[in-house]
This record gives sequence, C-alpha cells and structure tokens, in this order.
Amino acid sequence: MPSFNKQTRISPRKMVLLALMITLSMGLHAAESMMPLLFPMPGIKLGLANIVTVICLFIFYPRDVFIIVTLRVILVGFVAGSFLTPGFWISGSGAILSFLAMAAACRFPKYSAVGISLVGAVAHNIGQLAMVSVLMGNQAVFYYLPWLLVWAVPMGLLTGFSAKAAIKALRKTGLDGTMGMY
Amino acid sequence: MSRHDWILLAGIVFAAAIGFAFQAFFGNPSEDQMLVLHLTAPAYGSAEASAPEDAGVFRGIKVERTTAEALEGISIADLESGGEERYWQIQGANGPLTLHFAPGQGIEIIEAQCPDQICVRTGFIRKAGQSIVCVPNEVMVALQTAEPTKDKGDVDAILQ
Amino acid sequence: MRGKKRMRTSLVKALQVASLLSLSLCLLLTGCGRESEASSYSSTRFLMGTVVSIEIHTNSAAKAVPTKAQLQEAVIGALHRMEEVEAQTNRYEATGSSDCQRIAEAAGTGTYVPVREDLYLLLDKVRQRNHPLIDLSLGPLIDVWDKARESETLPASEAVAEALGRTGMDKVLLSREVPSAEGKGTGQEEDYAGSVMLTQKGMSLDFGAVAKGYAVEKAWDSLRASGLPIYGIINAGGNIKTLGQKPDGSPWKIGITDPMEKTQTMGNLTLDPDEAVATSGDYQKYFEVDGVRYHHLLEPVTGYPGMYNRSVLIVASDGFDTDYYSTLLFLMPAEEALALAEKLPEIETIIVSRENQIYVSSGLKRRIEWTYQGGYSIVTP
Repeated sequence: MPSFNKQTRISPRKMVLLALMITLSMGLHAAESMMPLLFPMPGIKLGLANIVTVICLFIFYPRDVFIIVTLRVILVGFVAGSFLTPGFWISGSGAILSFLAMAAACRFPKYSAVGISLVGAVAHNIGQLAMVSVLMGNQAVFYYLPWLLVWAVPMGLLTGFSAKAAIKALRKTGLDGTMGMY
Repeated sequence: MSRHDWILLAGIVFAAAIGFAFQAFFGNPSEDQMLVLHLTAPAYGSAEASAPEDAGVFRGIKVERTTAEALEGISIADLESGGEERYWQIQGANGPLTLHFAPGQGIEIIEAQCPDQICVRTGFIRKAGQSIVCVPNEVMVALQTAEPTKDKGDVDAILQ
Repeated sequence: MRGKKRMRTSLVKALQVASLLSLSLCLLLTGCGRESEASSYSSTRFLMGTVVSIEIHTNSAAKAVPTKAQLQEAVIGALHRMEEVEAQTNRYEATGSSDCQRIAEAAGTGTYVPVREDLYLLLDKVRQRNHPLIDLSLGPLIDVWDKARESETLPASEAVAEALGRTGMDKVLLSREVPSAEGKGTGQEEDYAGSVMLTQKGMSLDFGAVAKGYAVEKAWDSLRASGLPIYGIINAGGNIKTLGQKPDGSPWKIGITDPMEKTQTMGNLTLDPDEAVATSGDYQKYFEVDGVRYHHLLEPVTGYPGMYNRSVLIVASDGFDTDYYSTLLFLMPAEEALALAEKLPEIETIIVSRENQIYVSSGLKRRIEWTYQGGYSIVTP
C-alpha cells in the first residue's frame, strides 16, 4: 500500500471508534450542563468530558484527539443551541487548552492517566476563566482562580480514575495501543 | 497513582494555597467585581421566580431574571459585546420602559409610562447595591454583586 | 495469571475510588445548596406605592432551626398582613372596592360606612392625637397635587382653595357601631370594627401619612407571632423596622438617603433591635418649577407643600409613630420640630432644613456617622 494512503485513509474500525468517542464526550458534556452552577459565573463547567479526552490520548494520535475535542465542542454547541454564544466560547477554550496541556503531559511517561487528568483539569479551568475574562473585559474574575485550582483536584482525580478504568477495560478487548497505529 | 502524580497533586494544592494566601494578604478586589443586573418586572411573575439558565453577561454585568419578552429586541450576544452604548425595552405594568446602558456611566431608565417619572429622574446607577424603581410599572432594576448581602457595604438597609 | 488478578483488583480499586469521589462530590454539591437555603429568606413586593422587602435570617444558635418553608411562610404572612392594610387604606385601587374608596363614595350622603380594624384604628389614633398638621382627610387636595405633578405645572390657587374646602378632620365622623344593614350575609360583618362617615360631598380620606409605618409595624407583629428564632429587617422604602438582634451583637446599620443626591447616602444610623425608623422627604415624590421642589407632603392649613425642610427622620420603637411624627415634624420649622422631638421621650429625630442645616436630637448624636461630602452643616443647639 502506498504510504500516502496510510495518512489519508481511515479504517472503518477507527472511524467507528472516533465517532463513539465524540458521542460519549458529547453525552458527558451535555450531562454537566445540567448540573447546578458551582461558581457565580455562567458557563464555568466541571469538565467531565475530559474523561474521554484522556482515554483518547492513550489510544489515538494527538491529531485525532484534537479533532474529537473540537467536534465535540462544536456539536454540543449545535445541539444545545449555544453555538457562538459565550457559553460556547468558554467551554471551547477550556476544552482546547486542557487538550493541549494533556497532550503535552502525555510526552512525560512518568505521569499516569490520573496525573494527566490533573493537568487537564487545571488547564480546563484556567482556559474557561481566561475566556470569561476576555468576554467581560474584566480581570477581576481571576480572583476565583485558587478556588478553581482546588476544584481541579477532585475533578482531575475523578476523570483520571474513570479514564484509567476505561483504558484498562479497553486494553482487555485489544482495542488499545495498536489503535493509534492505524 | 504514581509518585509523580502525587507530586503534581501536591503542586496544584500548593499553588491554590499560595493564591488564597495572596488574596488574604492583598484583599478582595471588590471595586472591580462582576455586577449582576437584577430586573424585576411584572412579566416575570412573582419575585420568587428563579433566574433562567440563559442569563447573559455583558461587560461585567449579568442580566438576570429576564424572559424572552423582557429582552425582546436584544439578544444575549448583544449584551455580550459590551462596551457599546445600548438601549432596550422592557414591559412594565403600564407600558414599555426604555433602559439605557452607557459605558462608564451605568444604567438608567430614560422613558417610562408613569405619572411622576421618579424612575427617569433617578438617573444612572453604576454601583452594586443601587437600584432604580418604578412603582407604577412594578419594575425594579438593581445592580448587585454575586453576594448581594455584602453590597450594602457595612449597612443593613437604606432608608429612602 | 497472578498479574492479571492483580490488575483486576486494582481495576476494582480504581472504580471504588472513582465512585467514592463522585459520591462525595455530589454530597458536597447538595450539602452546600441546602445550607445556604435554609438560613435566610427574603422577598420583595410592590406594595403600598413602594417597594417592600422583608429579609429574615435564622438564628444559628437556636435549638430548632426553622425549615425554608417555615421562613417563607413567615415572610409571606407578614407581606400578606401589609396587603390587608393596603386593601383597606388604598385610595388608588383599580377595582374601587377598598374601604377607603367606599367611604369616599358615600361622602355627603349621611350614611355610615362599615370599616375594618386597621382603617378604624388609624383614624382613631390620628384623631386622638388631634394635631392640626396631620389630617387624614386631605384626599381632594392630594388629587389636585397628583395632577399637578403629572403635568409639572403649579395648580391654580382657586383649585387648591376649593379642594381645601373639602378637607377637615372635623367633618370625619367615627363610630364604634357597625350599621346593621351593611355586610349582612356577605360573611364580612365580623371583620368590621366600626364605621366612618364623611359629612361633605367630594371628601375623601388619604392615609399616606401613616399607613406605611402602621403596616410595617403590623408586618413586624406578624413575624414575631410566627415564634421562629429569627432576626431580620422590614424595609418599605422610607419606613424600616428591625426584628431582633444580629448574631454578632452589633447594632443594625441604616444608610440615610441624601435629599440632594438621592442615589447617595449622607450618613449611617445605628438601630437597636426592634426599633423603627422613617423619613419624610421632599425628594421622594415631587416636581420642580423654577428650581423649587413641589413635593407630596402637604400642609393642611395652606394646602401647599411644606417648605421648611428637605427631610425629617424619626426613630421610635413603634412604626406608626415614626411615620406620623416624620410627617408632622416635616411640616414644622426645623427649630420648632427639634424642640418638639426633645420634649417627646418616645421619638428621636434628624432634620435637614431647606437651608441645608442638619438638626439632630440629643438621643441620636452618638448613633449617627456622617458620610456626606459637603453642602450641609450640623447645627448644635
């Protein structure tokens, strides 16, 4: 098979898995928007959908994960009717920044899924807060940063352990590891 | 969890602790805190009605307790853009009231269907704890912080 | 084999930790919500021509902490009590069925109109005090000035004189008896406390000078009667009454509106537990002609707004007294008003005269902290 085909063609199996992951993350993303506000700022979310991002980082190339994250944010924007609204930008910047931070953290093999999730949770909150600050033209919102850092710990642990369990389960089915090599 | 994960966790908690210590030392930036614009109008039913999910934010001012009817003519994205001078109408018991947002000056009612125009005469409000009231229209426009009990400063109530 | 087993146990462990964490997170979320909900309750209504807000908090030291429903019931009950007062004394009710409106309708027909307790008590109290400056029959005159305020033009002096001719407490007759023909079979007869007759056609009563303070007092009674371990504040714009003491033992602090700059305060006043305060001010309802404020506080002898003062604040234990005396003292020259306040042990006062001089009665001097920037001077007699 010519090598360029390897780059552009996606196997049906991978496509199904990618779609599955997008759906899963959309579900989590939607679920957390039903949760009560934790902070006196609209749009700030916990980041449950990060569970999927962590799992995906272990089984896909970062490039694929980026697609999953971006599509998730856009699709939830459509489904929830929040596309291009402040809530959309806030969750979008949180999701993208946490993806970038976690993708970087993956390069250090000393961190387990839990450590990567912690990094992701912190980045997620910083990303959201930064967008709130930009939208409101107000730097005072960074007053809440320490609170958001504290919240990142239980959230990071929750997503980390969930992802760890899921990755282990996936490993048994043989869907892991080699998956990124497609 | 690996040892490195634990170190990371400790690092986050430490950073948060430094943040809190920093705040405790330098105090609360209350001057710059986000304001909530509280609108009470007959269209919203009783005063106990809760704020809808889609409360908008514009330039540090959040509009709460709004209904589609109340914000007719302006989308939340409009409020978002902030910084821009804005006019919008809300429905009072006697008829429409026109609200005016001017950057740097605050919010005022510039037009209302009421006999004595007390609301219009009130002029701009811009600080947390201030409000404009139009009794005939049963409309109240109030600026609050996220913690309204602290808006009155060290005062428990204002005698009008 | 062993490795797989270990992997499985660690998977179970991870799941356990994850579920525990999420469980604790949920508990934390719901826990926070409940705590903040139960400790206080407040409600705001448009009542008696103003914004009324009642705010109560649970005394955390109390043995039996009230539920949110109990707090809500207490606040709604107090607001309802104020609604009752309004339903009797309101002159502007759209349906025209308030006691006050029924009295006006029967004016000059020589018939006694049955009235309920609150209206009867208010009239009786004011009659007993019998001060020429407090007149509850100013309805026709107030109508003239309401119209003037809407059109922002001074009323013709003939119109004022004519309206003044239809006022006077001597033309208001009050009886403890309820006419037997009235209210029979309507189920209301037991509510009537007496009856009122206006002897001249075109007369009407206006309770604006005292109704709000009285209603605040009744709302306070209602909150007290709930028996809950609560503290709080009733704020009806120009009339406030405190309920109980704050948990930290500090006095209640009330910001006083600056008559010249009505979105600002000119000072802070401390209030004791269960103490009331009211202001009458020329800035509350007015129109201006040639830089002169024509406001809603009318002088019953001349028929024109009182021109001596900008605002008068009264502190007393009874809400009715604060409202009554703030109107009365407002219509007197500042020195005279201060002298009267010093003579009466039940009230304390702060008077801002038209000349921007501030008079403070002796009992309040240590209880006020001025914050105004300038424009006023404090007179020490």
